[in-house]
Formats: sequence, structure tokens, C-alpha cells
Amino acid sequence: MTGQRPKGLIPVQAKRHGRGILLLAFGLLFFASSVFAAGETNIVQTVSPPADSIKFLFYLLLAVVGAIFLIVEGALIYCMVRFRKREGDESEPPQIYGSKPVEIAWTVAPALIVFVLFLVVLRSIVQIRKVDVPEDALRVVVTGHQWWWEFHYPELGVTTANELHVPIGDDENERAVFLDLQSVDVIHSFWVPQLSGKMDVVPGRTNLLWFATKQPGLYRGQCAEYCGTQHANMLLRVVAESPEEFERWAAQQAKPAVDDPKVAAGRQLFMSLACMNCHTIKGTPANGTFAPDLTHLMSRQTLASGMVENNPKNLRDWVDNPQSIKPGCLMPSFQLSSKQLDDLVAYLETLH
Amino acid sequence: MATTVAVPEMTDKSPRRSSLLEWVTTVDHKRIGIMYLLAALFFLVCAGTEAALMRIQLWKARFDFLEPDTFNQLFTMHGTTMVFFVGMPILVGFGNFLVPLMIGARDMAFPRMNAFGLWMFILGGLLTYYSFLQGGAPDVGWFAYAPLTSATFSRGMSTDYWILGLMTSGLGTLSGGINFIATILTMRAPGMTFGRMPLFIWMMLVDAVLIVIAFPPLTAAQTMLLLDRQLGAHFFDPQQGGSAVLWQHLFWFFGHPEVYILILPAFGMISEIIPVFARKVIFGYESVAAATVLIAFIACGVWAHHMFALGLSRTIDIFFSGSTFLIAIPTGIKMFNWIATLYGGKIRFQTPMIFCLGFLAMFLIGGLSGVMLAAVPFDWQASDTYFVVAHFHYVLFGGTLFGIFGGFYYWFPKMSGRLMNETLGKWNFWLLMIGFNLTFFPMHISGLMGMPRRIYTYDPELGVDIWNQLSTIGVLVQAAAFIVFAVNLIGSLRSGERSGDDPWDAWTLEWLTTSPPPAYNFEVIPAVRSRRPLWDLKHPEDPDWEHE
Amino acid sequence: MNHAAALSAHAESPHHDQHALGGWTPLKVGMASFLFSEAALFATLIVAYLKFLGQDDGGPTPEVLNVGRELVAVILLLVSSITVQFASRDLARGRCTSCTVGVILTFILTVGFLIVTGLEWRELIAVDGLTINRNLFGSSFYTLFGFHLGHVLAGCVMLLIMMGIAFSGSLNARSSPGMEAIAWYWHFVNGVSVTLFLVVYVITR
Ligand code: HEA
Ligand code: HEA
Ligand code: HEC
Ligand code: CUA
Ligand SMILES: [Cu+2]
Repeated sequence: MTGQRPKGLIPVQAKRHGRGILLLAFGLLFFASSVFAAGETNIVQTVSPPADSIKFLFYLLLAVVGAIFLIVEGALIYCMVRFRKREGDESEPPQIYGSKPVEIAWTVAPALIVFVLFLVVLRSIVQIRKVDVPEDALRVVVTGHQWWWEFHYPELGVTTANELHVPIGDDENERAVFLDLQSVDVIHSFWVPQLSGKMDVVPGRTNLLWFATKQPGLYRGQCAEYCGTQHANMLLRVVAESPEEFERWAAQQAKPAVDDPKVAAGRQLFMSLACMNCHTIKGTPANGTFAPDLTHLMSRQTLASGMVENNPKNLRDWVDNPQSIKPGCLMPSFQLSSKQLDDLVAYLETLH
Repeated sequence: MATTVAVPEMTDKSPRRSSLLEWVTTVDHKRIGIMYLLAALFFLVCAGTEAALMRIQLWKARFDFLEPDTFNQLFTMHGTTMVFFVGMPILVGFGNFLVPLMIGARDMAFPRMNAFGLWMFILGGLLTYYSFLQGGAPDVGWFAYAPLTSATFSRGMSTDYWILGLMTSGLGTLSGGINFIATILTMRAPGMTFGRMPLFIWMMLVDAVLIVIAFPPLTAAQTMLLLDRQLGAHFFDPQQGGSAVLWQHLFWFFGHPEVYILILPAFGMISEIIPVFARKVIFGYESVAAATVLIAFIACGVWAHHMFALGLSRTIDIFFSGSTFLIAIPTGIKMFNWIATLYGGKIRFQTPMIFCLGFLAMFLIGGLSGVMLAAVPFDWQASDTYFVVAHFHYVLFGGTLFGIFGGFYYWFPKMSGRLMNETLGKWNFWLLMIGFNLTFFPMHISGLMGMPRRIYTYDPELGVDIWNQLSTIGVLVQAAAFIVFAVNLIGSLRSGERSGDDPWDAWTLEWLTTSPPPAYNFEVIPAVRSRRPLWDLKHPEDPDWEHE
Repeated sequence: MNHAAALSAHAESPHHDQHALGGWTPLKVGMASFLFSEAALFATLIVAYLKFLGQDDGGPTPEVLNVGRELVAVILLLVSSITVQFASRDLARGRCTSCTVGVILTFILTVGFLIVTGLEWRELIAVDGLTINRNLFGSSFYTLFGFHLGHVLAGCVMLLIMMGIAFSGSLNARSSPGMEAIAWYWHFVNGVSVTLFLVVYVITR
């Protein structure tokens, strides 16, 4: 009959779906984690406290929203199936205008959920965003450039590019690494998912980011804020190694460049072409700061912020025509003769 | 049981074909509305094609299909177009067509200003696209972060086109917003109190208020940027003490309300359509309306959730995390009210309705991923990755666009006097549903696997090839859906079944007049006594006003 | 259309709600919303001004501003608010001539404001060397006051149009709502001017 209007509550049949929903939510979780097991650069393969903490938060969020998803989608599908129009039934259903108690219930329940989430978030923020730097932390000044990274260790007098070396810690000594993030041009964002969340690198301010790991290895990351043409290839690597290896690496990096008389021709070229205006090679007149420090170029695994492997062929191709490898990058091509190239590359290859 | 009232059959007095000139010079809100829709559909094809090109480039790691600069222009233009020249104009177009009809008025408050708004939007769109011919489209992203937009880092004119195009169309939008407010506040039919306005009208009103609040700050910020670029001012230039952070505050103070500007009218549409096809009055009218107001209010205080990774202070992060969480509550209220409207109904699964059900199912996913992003530490991982891209396509496509499709199928008869084809409609829906999920669901995964957004290529080591391939295939399915829609639209316009005045047996005033309505809408301005005047008319034995 | 009639027939009292907002005509509501958006615009610019206050390493500071002169400018505008109000009221009462006088007076006062502002800017540029690209203070000062100036100029155009109507002899009560809208706009612009004066010349200087 038209116009029936049951007063009060809508007749909700309370059934116990709780356990099923929980099960499904965990299923979802399981699916998610198995998917991620495939890649290595992802937010659940964590090796550092900030990332661990976020991973925990992620699973919690996934479980909560997964459960809400199942309940709401379930209710929707239930209504669609149960209350579809039957063949030949042209009458109007009872008109129900609303119900205070029900509406209050579905206002309060989400409010409680988000309140709890908010508390968890609060704790997590305070854990992760540290404001005081412990005395024994390793400090690195990270400078974002269009489209490469500069790493400067003020205490060690080391400057390098694109590959950040850090010592691992152990149970006694965490060996936290604190990064001071700066930019000389536009906004970038420092992101190595396995170590921590991202933090923007903003011109005109210094941001702080930290991580610590006990697991030696290579961790990949990349610039995560759009910063122009080659944003996609502003990759970065973090090499976590034992304290001894790290000390050795740092000592080597602190030295000035090798001066091998056999490649004097190449060295001469480097200083006479424009190279020295942009690049620094310690112990030589080259002290440009616009481009990566090349003093220990050969100690790096990659060229041009992770674009290509650092091997003689790639190095030669790069110096020959950087634009063909990284179109739009800020190093020009110099139209060098084959001989000049050979000399130059021979010189660069001595920079261990 | 009088479900139908004897409707005097509309004799086919189909008005003579009107000339193009009549359309171009019109100040009739219905024609303006329709022109908004058509222009926006044109831009939808542009922006969709841009997206398809991007998806091809992302087919596999280190794929060589587009130059990096081209790719960067594509996502900038795609985002800008979808937000400013597709989403908003379609919603404003529906608003234009429907608001006077639904409130029982003869036109908008300022018909000429209305036409002005339309042409400003079209001009702004064309101006922005003109940049393609002038040596390159903007390539700074749709939110154009400083200082990438400064004269130093963005040479040439592309960014200026972006500024001027958006300012121009923004002026049109603003005038539209003012027009809606004036129309809705002062021109309702006798008896239509605030408590009796259709929910679509409520949402358009709130939407217009958001427009009036949010657009001027954007205009101000863009002016400052223009002064930086053209006259050497220093607002956003950190080298000279300016602030890159200020731009983000100003942009997102606009940008966040903007995304709600893009969803509220869609909320309004489904609030009209769902009851009609469930054959039930909306459940909890008051709380849906109140929740809308609450959403708009909160929406003005959450903008910095786009800036969690910027390194603002902990206190700021915590505040904006909390305020963002709050938005889930009123949105949830609406969600539950819509589902409760289905409960106990007799649901007719016609095309407008299935799009609304698709809306409910898909928007939920986008809303929930939004709540995850509001959890600051999680956002530190997910921000600027494809997870965010997935989030906003679920709300913008799964929400706004699904609502718009529902609206097209629902009001097309009113606009044209003809029904759209149901079979094609169902094909349209299912192809879109499948294509959409195939495109955007995998993005959650690739994002969490470490794929940042706005990259023209990626490293094979990332291991996200497969997810990108799924996304790219999805676009093909979506394109098929859009083609089905186009065929349906054009075919139905020519030879669709005649709809009569009230094909869905609906309840709001627009169904009272003929399809298409005469220029003056109503011969006699109707007076109303309830939220569903046509229900009252059809059920004199049991009118609504006895129950509200 | 008999449905509409049918609906009207059983509404409690037809025509009771069309003007639900008392005297609020569409024009007034439209104007109010417009002014609201303008307020948002100026608020944004003021925020930018305050944000950059004292951030400069070099160049002129707000010290160079001439408070006395700006006060004169603001007072000129404030008085013009009164004259425009009279003009609008007179027109509403059908007194076209005195309305015309009011409009002309308003215009003259505004020209006075423009002259004083011109003097102020001339000194800032020529003597103090403050330009929009000199430093942050220059950028934000000129943007803020430039926007205000643009609004004053737009108001001048409106006044000129009213004068044109008056001199062509077609001023009558039908123009009254328009005149009232102009008056509202004018009060708003002058309110902004007072706000800017207080913020820039008094509180933060
Ligand atoms: C239609 C547009 C739209 C809508 C409606 C939303 C809705 C929401 N958005 Fe989204 N968002 C965008 C469009 C939109 N967003 C866009 C375009 C961007 C990216 C811009 C760019 O960077 O380019 C973005 C980015 C974005 C970010 C920044 C991410 C980043 O860049 O790092 C965040 C973070 O908080 C966020 C959060 C939210 C939240 C919490 C909601 C909420 O409103 C969602 C509320 C809905 C629900 C929660 C579902 C229903 C509720 C229930 C069933 C109740 C029960 C639920 C709970 C208790 C949780 N959004
Ligand atoms: C309403 C808003 C809206 C809509 C509907 C869409 C729709 C789509 N979006 Fe969009 N998107 C945004 C708003 C929207 N997007 C925004 C705001 C951004 C951020 C931009 C930025 O970062 O600055 C973005 C960014 C964005 C990205 C990230 C780019 C990057 O970060 O590098 C991607 C990547 O896949 C993408 C894909 C798509 C696809 C495949 C569709 C598809 O659904 C489109 C489907 C439509 C069509 C295909 C057109 C119609 C079809 C035809 C006419 C048939 C013939 C066409 C061909 C196949 C050629 N979008
Ligand atoms: C105009 C400045 C400029 C000049 C001149 C210049 N370079 Fe570069 N160079 C750069 C920039 C910028 C990069 C970083 C490119 C990137 O990764 O985006 C770079 C990168 C390199 C690299 C890779 C470094 C690394 O760690 O990945 C090498 C090697 C190199 N340059 C060698 C040279 C040589 C040899 C010359 C002279 C023939 C030269 N450069 C001249 C700007 C310059
Ligand atoms: Cu640097 Cu993106
Ligand atoms: Cu937002």
C-alpha cells in the first residue's frame, strides 16, 4: 500500500556478521602483503624504525578501512539484491523518512573510529618526527639539485653525489642518520621507502629526516616531488654498510683526487673545457658547485643519479652526449672529438 | 494508488530547429546549461586523450614513446582540464539547467551574467589550449608549485597561459556561483522553504558558497605569480626571501574546497536519483542537508593535508590530520542515508540508477583511501605516489563522473524529450566500471611499491610493470565505454524513444513541465507544500506534507 | 500546466515564499555574494602582506610610508561614502537632481583620493626607490594597494556611467536598485581602504 509509514526504527535485522568480516579483512591484508613481497622498493619491506612504524600504521589502517569497506559494500549489495523491484509489482514501498536513533548511531560509530585512528596517528607522528638530534648521530646535508642529489658529511669533510653511504647500527648503538634537507633550486622530495617516509626538500628552508638500520644493503629511492623535466630520473641509492666499511669509505672519500701523470692530457682537457666551472675535483682548480663532485667518481655505482651503470662505455657516452642519455638534463653536450673523449674519459677513470 | 496523473499528451509541437546564432546569443538557462555540457564533453575528449597518451608511455619500464617534456605537459593539461574544464563546467551546466526548473523559477537571477560565465569558461579553456600552438603547453603540474613556475625555471609563456586561462574561466565560475546563490535564495516557488528544497538544490547552494570562498584566493595567488613572472615581484621566489610554502597554502586553500566543489553537485544528483528509482523518499533529508553544510565548513579547514610531506610543524600536521579525519563523519552520514534509502525500497535498475549504485560502491573506495592518507605518517609514504593518484581518481571518476553519467541518463529526457537507449546504457556502465577499476585499482599497489607520480618513465627494478600494464589496458576499456556513450547520446538525440514529461515517475518540479521545457519553464509558477510536490500530486490521498 | 495550478491550489498560501528573504532582491543577494568574494580576495592579499612583513634583507621598509597623507586619502574616501549614500537614498525617493549632485560630489572626492594616492606613490617610487620588484615589501605593498586602486577605478567607471545616465536625462527611479548596488560596492571599497590603512599604516608599521 502506498503511504505506509512505520513509525520509529527501521526494521534492521541484526545478524552476526562480525567474524566473517574480520576474516575477510585479514584475507585482504594477506593479499596485500603477498603482492608487496614481489618488489623490494616498497613500504612494507622496511628496515628502519620510522618505516617500521608506518608499516604498522598501514596495516592497522588497512584492517580498519577494509572492515568498513566490507560492511558498507555488503550492506549495499544486500539492499540491491533484497530490495530489487519484483516482476509485476507496481505498488510503492512504504515511505520511511528517517530515524533519529539509527542516524545517531551511524554518526557516533565513525566518530569513535576516527578518534581512535587520530590517537594512533598522534603517537606515530611524535615517534617519527624527531626534533632533537642525538649527539652521536651521523649528520648529512642533503642538497637537491635539478636532477641529482648532493650529499655532504660536514663532520667527515666528504662530499659526494647520488649515493648515500651510511653505517649500520646494532642493538647497543642505533647509529641514527639525520639528514638536513636543502634545495638550491626547486622543491624536491627525499624518499627511500624502506627507510622512512618522504620529506620535501624545499628552497629557503631546512627540513630534518632521520632513519637508522641494522641491515646492510642497498636501498633505492627517488625524488618524489615533481621538479621539472627529469624528475623521473632523479633516483637515489642508500648504501648501508658495516661501520668498518663505512669508515674506510669515508676516509677514502675525504682524500683529494688521485693525480695520475699518465692521464695528464685528459686532466688538462677537463680544466680547459668548461667542465671545471660546474664540477669539483678536489686537489685541482676545478671547484664548481653546480654539478656533482667528481673527485671520487669511480667509487659510485651509477652515473647521472642512477640513470645508467657506471662503466667505461656509459661514461664515455655520457661525456659525449649527456642529452641522449638524460634528455633535458643540465649538462650540455660539448661536441668533442673522439681523441678528446678518450683522454677525458681516461682521466675520469682514474678518479677512484 | 494513483501513481500516474492523467498527463495531457504533449503534442509534437517540436519547436522549429533553432539556428546556431540563437544558441550562441542565448541567455536561456537551459540552453546555457546544455552548452556547458557540450563544451565540457569536448574538453573531456581532450583530457582523456592526454591520459591515454600518458598511459601508453607508462606501458613498460623505460618505454620510449614520449619525450619527458611532452609527458610533463600532458599530465599538467590532463589534470587542469579535468578539474577546470570538464568537472566544474559539467556540474555548473547541470546546475544551470536544473536549478530554475527544480525551484520553480523562470530563469536564473542574472541571465546575462549566466551567458557571460559560459563564455568566460570557454575562452579560458581555449586560451589554455592555445599554449600548445605557442611553443608548448604548461608543464608545471595542475597545482603549479613554486618556484618551478618562476621565470627562472619556467621559461617561455606556457605558465602565463596557465595563469590567464584559469583566471578567465575562474571569473566565469565565480559569476556562476554568485548567480546560483542569488537564484536559490530569492527565486524559489511559493511554499518552497529551505526545508523543502530538493537536495540537489541544497548541494548547489553550498557548492556555490564554496566557489565564492575558494576562487578569489586562487585569483589572488595567480596574480601574485603573474607579477613575479612579468614584473619581477618576489612573492614566491625563495632566492629573494619569497616563500614557496605560501604558494602551497594559498593554492590548497583553494584546492581542497575545489575537490568538494567537484563532488557536492554529484552528491546532489544521486540524492535525487536514488530515491526515485528506489521508489522511496530520501532517508534523513535533514541530516543529508546538514551533513553537506558541515562538509563545506570542514573543507575550508583541511587544506594542509596536501602538505604533510612539506615539513610543516608537528602541531600543524596533527591539526590538519584531525580536521581531515572529521570529514569522514558527515560523508559517512550521507553514504549511510543513501543506502538506507535503498533499504525497504523497490529498486528499479535502470541506467541512471546503476550509475548511482556504481557511485556508492566506488566513491567508498576513494573515500577510504582518503582517510588512510589523512593519517599523516602513512601519507609520508603514500604522498606523491600513485596511491594518491588512485585515491583521487576513485573520488573524481568513481564519484563525480559516475554521478554525472547518472545525471546524463536521468535528465537527458528532460533536455531533449527523448530517452536514452537502455541497452547501450548498460554496456556503457559495465565497460566503464570494468575499465575504471582495471585502470585505477592497480595504482594503489604500484604506488605503495614505490612508484612516484608524475614520472615519465620508471626503473625496471621497481617491479611495477605489470600493474602499469593493467592500468593501460583499462584505458582501452574505458575508451570503449566512452564511445558507447557517444553513440548512445547522438543516436538517442536523433531517434530515441519519446519520453513524455515524466518518464521516471519522479517527484521534483522539473518533471512537471514539458520535455524539453518551454523557454519560460512554467506557465503557472507552481506552489509547493512539501519536498516532493509531484508525489503530493500523484498521491492526493497520502501527501508528503502530512509526514515531514 | 494544470498540474502547476493544481499544486498552487492546495498550497497553504500561494505566493508566500517567493521573496522569502524580506527585502533581499536577487540583485542585493548577488551583490552581497560578490562583495563576500571580494573580501576573500583582499583577505588573501593581506595575509601575503603580513607574511612578508620584515622579511627583507634590504630596500625600503614600511617606515617610509607617509601616515598623514594616507589618512587624508582615507578620509576623502570615507566622506565619499556618505555622499554616495545620500545619492542612493535620494534616487530611491525620486529626487533625481540631488542624486546627480551626490554622484558628482562622490566622483570629485574620489579624484581627490586618486591625486593624494598618486602623490604618495610618486614619492615612494621617486624618493624612496620602492618599486614592485625592489623587495618583498614593494611586491606585497603595491599588489595590495594596487588591487584596491583597481577597485576604486572600477567604482569611478560606475559613477561615470551614472553621470552619463543623469546628463542624458534618463535618470529615474528605475535606476535606483543599480544605484543602491553601486553604493554598496562603494562602501565595501572604502571599508577595505580603512582596513588597509589600519593594517599597513597603523598597526604593523
Ligand atoms: C572529488 C574529489 C575528492 C574528494 C571527495 C576527496 C575526499 C577526501 N580526500 Fe582527497 N584528494 C582529491 C580529491 C578528493 N578527495 C584530489 C584531486 C587529491 C590530489 C590532489 C593532487 O595532489 O593532485 C586528493 C588528495 C588527498 C590527500 C593528500 C594526499 C597527498 O597528496 O599526499 C588527502 C590527505 O589527507 C586526502 C584526503 C581525503 C579525505 C579524508 C577525503 C574524505 O572526504 C573522504 C570521506 C569519505 C569516506 C571516508 C567514505 C564514506 C564514509 C563512511 C562509510 C563512514 C565510515 C568511515 C570511516 C570511519 C573512516 N585527499
Ligand atoms: C575529473 C577528473 C579526472 C578524470 C575523469 C581523470 C581520468 C583519467 N585519468 Fe587522471 N588525473 C586527474 C583528474 C582526472 N583524471 C588529475 C587532477 C590529475 C593530476 C594531474 C597532475 O599531477 O598535475 C590526474 C593524473 C593522472 C595520472 C597521473 C599522471 C602522473 O602523475 O604522471 C594518470 C596516469 O595514468 C591519469 C590517468 C587517467 C585516465 C587513464 C583517465 C581516464 O579515465 C580517461 C578516460 C577518458 C577518455 C579515454 C576520453 C574519452 C574517450 C574517447 C573519446 C575515445 C577515444 C580516445 C582514445 C583512447 C585516444 N590521470
Ligand atoms: C653547465 C654545467 C656543466 C658542465 C660545463 C659540465 N657538466 Fe658534467 N654534469 C653537470 C650536471 C648538472 C650533471 C648532473 C646531471 C644529472 O644527473 O642530472 C653532470 C654530471 C656529470 C657526470 C656524472 C656524475 C655522476 O656522479 O653521476 C660526469 C661524469 C660529468 N658530468 C662529466 C663532465 C665533463 C667531463 C665535463 C666537461 C667536458 C662536464 N661534465 C661539464 C653539469 C655540467
Ligand atoms: Cu627532484 Cu623530483
Ligand atoms: Cu584535499
